[in-house]
Amino acid sequence: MPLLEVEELVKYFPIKYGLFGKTIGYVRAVDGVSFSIKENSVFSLVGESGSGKSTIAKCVLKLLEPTSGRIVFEGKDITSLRGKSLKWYRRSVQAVFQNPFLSLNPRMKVESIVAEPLKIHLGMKSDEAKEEVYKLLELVGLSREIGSKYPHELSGGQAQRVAIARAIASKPRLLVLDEPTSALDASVQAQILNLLMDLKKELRLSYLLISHDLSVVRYMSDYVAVIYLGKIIEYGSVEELFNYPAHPYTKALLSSVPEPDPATRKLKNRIVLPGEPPSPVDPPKGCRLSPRCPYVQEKCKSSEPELISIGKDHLVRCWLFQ
Amino acid sequence: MMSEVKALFTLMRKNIVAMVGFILVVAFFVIGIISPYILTRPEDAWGSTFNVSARYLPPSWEHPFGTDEFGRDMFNRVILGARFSLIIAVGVVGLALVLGVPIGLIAGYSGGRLGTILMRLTDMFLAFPPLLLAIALAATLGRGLANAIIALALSWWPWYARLVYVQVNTVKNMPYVDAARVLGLDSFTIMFRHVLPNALTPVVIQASLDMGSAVLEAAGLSFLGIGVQPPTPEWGLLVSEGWQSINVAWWISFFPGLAIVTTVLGFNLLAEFAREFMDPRLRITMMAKRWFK
Amino acid sequence: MKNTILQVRDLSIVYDTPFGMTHATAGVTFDVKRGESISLVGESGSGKSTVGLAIAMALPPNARIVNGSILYGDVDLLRLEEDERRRYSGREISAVFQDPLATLNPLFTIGEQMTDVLMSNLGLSKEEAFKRAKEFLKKVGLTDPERILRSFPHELSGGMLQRVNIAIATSTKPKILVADEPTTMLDVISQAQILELFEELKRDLDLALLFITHNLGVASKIADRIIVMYAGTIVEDGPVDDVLSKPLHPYTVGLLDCVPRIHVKEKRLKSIPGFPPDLSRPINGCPFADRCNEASDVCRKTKPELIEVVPGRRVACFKYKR
Repeated sequence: MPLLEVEELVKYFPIKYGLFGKTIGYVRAVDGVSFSIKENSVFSLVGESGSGKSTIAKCVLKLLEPTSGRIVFEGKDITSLRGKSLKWYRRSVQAVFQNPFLSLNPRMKVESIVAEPLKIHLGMKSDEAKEEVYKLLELVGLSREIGSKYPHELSGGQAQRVAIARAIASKPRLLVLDEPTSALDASVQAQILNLLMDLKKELRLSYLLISHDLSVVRYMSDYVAVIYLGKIIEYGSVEELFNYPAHPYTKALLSSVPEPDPATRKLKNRIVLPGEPPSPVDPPKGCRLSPRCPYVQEKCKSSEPELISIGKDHLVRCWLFQ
Repeated sequence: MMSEVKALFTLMRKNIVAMVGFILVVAFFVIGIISPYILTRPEDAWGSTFNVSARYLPPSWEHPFGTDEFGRDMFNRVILGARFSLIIAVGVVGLALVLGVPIGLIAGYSGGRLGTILMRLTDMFLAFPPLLLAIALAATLGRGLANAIIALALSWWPWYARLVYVQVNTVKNMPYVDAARVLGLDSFTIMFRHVLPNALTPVVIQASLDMGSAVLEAAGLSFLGIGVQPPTPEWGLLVSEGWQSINVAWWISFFPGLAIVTTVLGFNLLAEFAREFMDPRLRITMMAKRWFK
Repeated sequence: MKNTILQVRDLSIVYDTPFGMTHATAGVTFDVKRGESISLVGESGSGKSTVGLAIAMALPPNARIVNGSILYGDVDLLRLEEDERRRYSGREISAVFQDPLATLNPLFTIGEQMTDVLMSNLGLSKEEAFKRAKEFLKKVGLTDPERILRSFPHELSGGMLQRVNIAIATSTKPKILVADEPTTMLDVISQAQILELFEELKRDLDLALLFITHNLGVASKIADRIIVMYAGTIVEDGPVDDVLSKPLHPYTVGLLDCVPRIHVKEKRLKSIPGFPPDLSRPINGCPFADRCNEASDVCRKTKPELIEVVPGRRVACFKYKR
């Protein structure tokens, strides 16, 4: 049984206008997304800004209520659960956000920040919690003294480690990582990514990784889904997707990433995707990539393809493959 | 926190205007607190004496601020007046915070209909010119120090409610509030542990600086005859008491008036500095620190 | 050398903050040739942005020039008076910054802002300025320049805004363009488009480009020469392909190693141990010494000089001799 199952998730944001807040349209941020995450595995959602990947993460974290669709965790449907009935879910599903200086309360000391989940979910009292906090800090590579500091006194890497310590404190099973290293320097990013992989092994965690950085996704993931304008347009194991990308958008993404190594850089042929992603308010008819796709055909402009399987662990949503 | 306070003082040291303001405000607080204990003529200060031979004496060594129509030493009265002004300043601002902050917090955090209703209510109060509202309330409530404080606080809380509301609206969208929700905290805890402490800073700063205005407004009320009553040596009242004899005994109104002016000036100078500190400079310097860490 | 248009000599800048003084750069020295594209690479705290800001004459008010000069011809850009500065800034020396919205006023249309710049910096009439603005908007790949000129900044996407900024910066036909992380806030695909745009402009306008980035892949793509900075000093520089395929300085080696690759799934990322140094204190010896696994006593005591080990390549490391 998979740990997390998301079925046909839809999230529309109403656009209100005028004095009385009349709804004049919707931002179709997520338009029917399904995926599942197994135990002790890393599943990544790749997309650019406006793709809907962050919205999906927020729905999984129950920070937003889906417009429709189901979210099932450990076999239990949590879609309509709220408030107190969600407490067990919150213990098992935690998050690490992009900017640690914004995701840690600037007025709280590190030890209080990390102790919060211990008190709520493990029912620890202050002294017990303090000991456990030190153990957690050590686990993420920080010394005890960090406990008495405030977030702004830490470096980016240290602050993100604190955020990770907080996230694993309640002994969760799934962590949602929303661009966990985008705000960090390259050398620090490597340390944090290594830490996350180590923790995954030691604590048998699963990760839902949201990222626009394909090299991070490559390093960490077992399975990847590429999202464009609220729909998954390609899904596969990390080997399949990176070695045999099928969808033109995936190919364009992979070819656009600049490589430091001159040898590889020269080999790369960039697939040009002209223009800008259209607005999720009024997605194009037919295939969402059709206005920009270099391989576009008539069919693409009028009807939207389904996700079909093109190999073991490989799905793609494109008329080129049907 | 400490590093921010240290930074504040470093900047202040370089700024004469801020230093002067700071000294004046500190002087106000210190004198206000210790005044009952440093009076040379307490009976005069509290107003219970009537010394015929010492009436209307101009400033001299013995009476640095002269005496009033009852022969009371003005210096002592003004010094004790500081205590009352301090009580008023802290009382008005404190009460206004107690009323305004929870309203702003709940309105901001809940949003939706409750938030709109609360803020419309606040807006109604804000529509009145504050001093007029205070006068009307004071007149209704009756005279006396306590009623003056209540009247002023009732005319002031909407400003703090609005300030808190705006801050809370920003803070509640911060990732650390999301993180708190993801942790499973209940709304109450989130409001008081995560949102309020981060929304309060500008409010607290504003409130501290508003104390000068509180002193001024209270003086205004007393001058008009509402609010504090004789023989309380509140500065506004002292100015009013000396008003009729202003041509022959200018010092009776002058020194209390001077006290009001310097106190309010001190607060205003600090306010100017605080505004500069809060805005772009702080942003630049804090960014520089983060950038180059 | 007639070919050299900019000479940065011994540039040492500190920032005056209420938290203390930050030594942003120390003794930075390099040349820029006509039409050359140089990438200044480093992590946060490296001083790369400070160098760029100094050349663009856009340093914040709390920056103090402790030492050094920036010679443009025989003019020292650092020692110009306010009015003299305007002769060069925005005309012969232009800049594009990281946040596309930062330099644009949300209250005015793009057209108003572009024509303003052209009228004041080049003394053009309104019609001439309008014509030039349209010309350069087309040059940067915006297909409907009239619509863009009528739009307000918030109506355009990040990629389009950056193109507008580049159009504004190049419309005065500068000799030097400083670009400070111009693609960091953009999506991978927009980034690739903007990088290609820079390459085109470089060729068309014979522009010297000073491209500041923390991304080695971007540097590899856009630059002829790369300058690697750490803790305010240059640690290595040379032709980009040489430096990135055979890095000399241990920091450059470490930096290249710790970037995850797309085309291969790595087992574990190499990372540089430790943290960047505290810039509020002057540094004794080599700034990288405490993180370098090849450091020796001399490294900790004396600062290595930047020496030319091979014609065109310099390194500041005791491992190498002239």
